[in-house]
Amino acid sequence: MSSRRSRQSGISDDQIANLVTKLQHLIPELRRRRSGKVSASTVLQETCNYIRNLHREVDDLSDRLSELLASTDDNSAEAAIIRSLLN
Amino acid sequence: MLNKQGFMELVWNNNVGSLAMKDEGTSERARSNEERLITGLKSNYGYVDHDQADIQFQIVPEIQKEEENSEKDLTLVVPDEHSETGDHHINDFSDSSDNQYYLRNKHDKPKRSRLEIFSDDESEGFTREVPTVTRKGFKRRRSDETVSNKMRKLQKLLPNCHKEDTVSVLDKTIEYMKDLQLQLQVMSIMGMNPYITQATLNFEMHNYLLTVMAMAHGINLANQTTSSPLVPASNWPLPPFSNLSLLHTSNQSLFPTTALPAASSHCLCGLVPCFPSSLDFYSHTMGGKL
Repeated sequence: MSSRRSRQSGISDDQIANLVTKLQHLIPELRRRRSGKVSASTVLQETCNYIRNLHREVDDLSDRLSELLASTDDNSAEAAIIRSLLN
Repeated sequence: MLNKQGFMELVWNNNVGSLAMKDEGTSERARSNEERLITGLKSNYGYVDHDQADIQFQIVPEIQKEEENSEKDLTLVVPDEHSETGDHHINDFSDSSDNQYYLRNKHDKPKRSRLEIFSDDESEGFTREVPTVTRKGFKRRRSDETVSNKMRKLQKLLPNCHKEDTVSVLDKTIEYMKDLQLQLQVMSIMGMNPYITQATLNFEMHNYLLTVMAMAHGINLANQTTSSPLVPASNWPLPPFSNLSLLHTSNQSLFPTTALPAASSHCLCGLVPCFPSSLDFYSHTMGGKL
């Protein structure tokens, strides 16, 4: 049952709950906790953490790839790919 | 630093999760300035309920502070969340009474009676009158604030996110997370064995890889934005490929519906310098498939 305010804003609670559930499924840590009782704040918090982790991994991988790039010859295909990924 | 923050926030989250589930009292969303003011006044006059031992606010100070400071100063809830670390500068009054209540999870019994944090079943009554704030209502309002805080945090993490409403932030988060996961997959594959790339590229992977490369450059696939990050591709040594100029120039017509920038095909051409035969493959596939 949506309140007047959410009706005014045109956003349904169900919609939001759906999105939160979808988000929950994307997060590996929360995917197991399918108890159906995970709060939205938990999901959001875990999302923030997860995105930060992903960023960190991307940075790490970028570093590794750039090292790899340094070791390959400059004209090869993979060098080009790696360069494009890193730029 | 990131790790430490992540860890601490994680701890915080485990504690705060119980806040979201209080059934009585006001709805999750802070309705108005008036309510915030009332909340603040109540804590000002020592209304802070002493049974809040089961609220745990192990907030990472610096992170939380950025968020909280952006809220209206009427929200005197804020200092409660900071005072444990003593770095609140907003109000000091709540210190002495509240410090002792920042226990770490000792009595935590998550009362998860509701799944929907955003549902508003009891909201009507509580927006009208001065709420006779129960402890749970108080908590609920705080958790409401923390949810919007988290939304803001999320927004900061997302690239190019300029809308503030819940639904679009959530939408973008979902897309972004999928994109990131995809990108990481490809990057890790390439990182493990660079010699994979040539073979896979020439055949099914090129679509996949192009998408990922576009994302890696932060190009929103929904907009056909500038292809400037990929321009360097045209500088790649392509001596045998002068006959590809046709492909380069006619990109727009070949890919009328693709969301990828035109220069991405430059990338493709640069990627297969050693396989002239596959160029024919490309010219067919790029016209037909992409």
